[in-house]
Amino acid sequence: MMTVSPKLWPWVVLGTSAVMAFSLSCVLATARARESGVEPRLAELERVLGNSRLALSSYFIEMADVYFHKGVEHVEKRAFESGFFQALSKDISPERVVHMAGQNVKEMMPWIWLAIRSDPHNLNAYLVGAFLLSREVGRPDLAHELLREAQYNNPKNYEAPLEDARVYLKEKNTPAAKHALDVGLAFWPGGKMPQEANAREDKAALLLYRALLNEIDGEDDAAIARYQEILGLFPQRTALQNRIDSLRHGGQPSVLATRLWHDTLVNQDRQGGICQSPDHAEEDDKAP
Amino acid sequence: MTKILTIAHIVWLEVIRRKDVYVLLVLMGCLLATLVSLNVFGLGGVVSYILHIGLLMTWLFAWILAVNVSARELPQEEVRGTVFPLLAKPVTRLELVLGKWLGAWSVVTAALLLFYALVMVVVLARGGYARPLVLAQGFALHSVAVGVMAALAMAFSTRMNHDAAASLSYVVTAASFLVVPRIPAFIAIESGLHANLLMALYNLLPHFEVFDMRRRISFDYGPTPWIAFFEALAYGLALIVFLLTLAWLAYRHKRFSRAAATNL
Repeated sequence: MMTVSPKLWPWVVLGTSAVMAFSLSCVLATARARESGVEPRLAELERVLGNSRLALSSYFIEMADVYFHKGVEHVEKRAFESGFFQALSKDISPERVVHMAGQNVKEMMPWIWLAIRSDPHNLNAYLVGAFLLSREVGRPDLAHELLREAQYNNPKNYEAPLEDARVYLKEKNTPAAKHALDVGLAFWPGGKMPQEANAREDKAALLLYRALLNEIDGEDDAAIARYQEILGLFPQRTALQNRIDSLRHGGQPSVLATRLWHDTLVNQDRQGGICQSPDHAEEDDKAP
Repeated sequence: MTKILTIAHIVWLEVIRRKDVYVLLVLMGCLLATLVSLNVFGLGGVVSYILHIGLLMTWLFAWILAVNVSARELPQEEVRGTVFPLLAKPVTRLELVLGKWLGAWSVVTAALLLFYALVMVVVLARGGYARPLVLAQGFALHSVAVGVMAALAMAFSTRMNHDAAASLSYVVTAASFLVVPRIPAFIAIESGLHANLLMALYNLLPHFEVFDMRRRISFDYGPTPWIAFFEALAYGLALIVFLLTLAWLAYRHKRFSRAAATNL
């Protein structure tokens, strides 16, 4: 039978008490979280990582970006570029920026997954993940699941329903898209200020998609009201006034609703997929 | 040469007895098992992150092992008092330093091989792939980097005890790995004395980034051009020779005290 030296007893008691106190505090925190409706897993994360989880989540998003650039990090401006060590280092570890595309993009997903697990309130991680899953990896079903999780962990945001609507529109699932857009409009502006540029752009997108779906259903009055709301936000979008006038006179707008929503989605996807990094030019995007 | 190999053999026996390598291997195994068990959005065939993190852990563990094993060898002989009978034999101090370094480097390289093998087994089992030539080049350069770390720790340990030598080695190698490659970027925003100091550091500290082929391995960039590979190899060997020469110069006239040896 194992015996403990008498000199060690105080330490054994102290250690055991510390372990019991920590275990009890975890249980109490979890129970309290359940009572107040907070996801218990979040409470445990808070306890273990504290606010460092926010930094960790941002780091994982950065890693996803590094993976997107095939391992090349953003290159800082250097005082000198020529030199034995720099030249040798570039030969050993290439610095030419090449983007991942297609199925290879799924190699970025573990880092998005880690970013979300570290900070379930990191909405950007969900949106990037959903974009990649639906557009690049070709798994819109997983994108919907991810956006549902985003909504669960960030209850009053509008960005997740907007992205969800985009994915449904690409699948041509208009009833589900309508529901998602209505949810987005109800929750707008979420956590943002209404006058923020991004919030206004997103509201215009919600209204545009919803209005196009109204047009397809023959709900011209509802469509006109939404277009007018967009003009209230962005008076310079005069093409919408032409569309309103066509609908008022009972005619067909020059660009059909289905075509317009398809083109808008393509443009927004292109914007979302373009690397905004100033470190490289378009021609660097070819494989080495 | 026989004496050097005999001393190296003793280092092997010591490291095997101490079980450092087994602990790190088990840790690596646990980490890889955790990574493999992640369910990433239900996607299958995602494997790059395992290779990336596995190689990162390999570098980290090899670094810890190289510094710890090398920084311990010479001070340990002095503390135990075994340096006296050792040097009473016809073993020169140069042979002692070389033997200790060879033992430390070879055992860490063997551990490195095990780490690489473990990572690749897991990656291959998950359906991933890494080109054998790129892996071989990466392993060779990594082994040279480990040799440099071992030589550096050995040089410090000729005049310091184990803890001090290990601490200083960790600081210098970490700075060399993390800070030195970014010095050209720091100099771009500095001037005058600060810029000159940074430039001096850039030229004095070892450049471990030239041995790091993880990006090529993880992202399938293909093998390193052979000229660059042999240049990196030559640089590493030159560093090792320089550091071991420093170690020998610091050790050759060192006086050992029996009183210090008995004060355990």
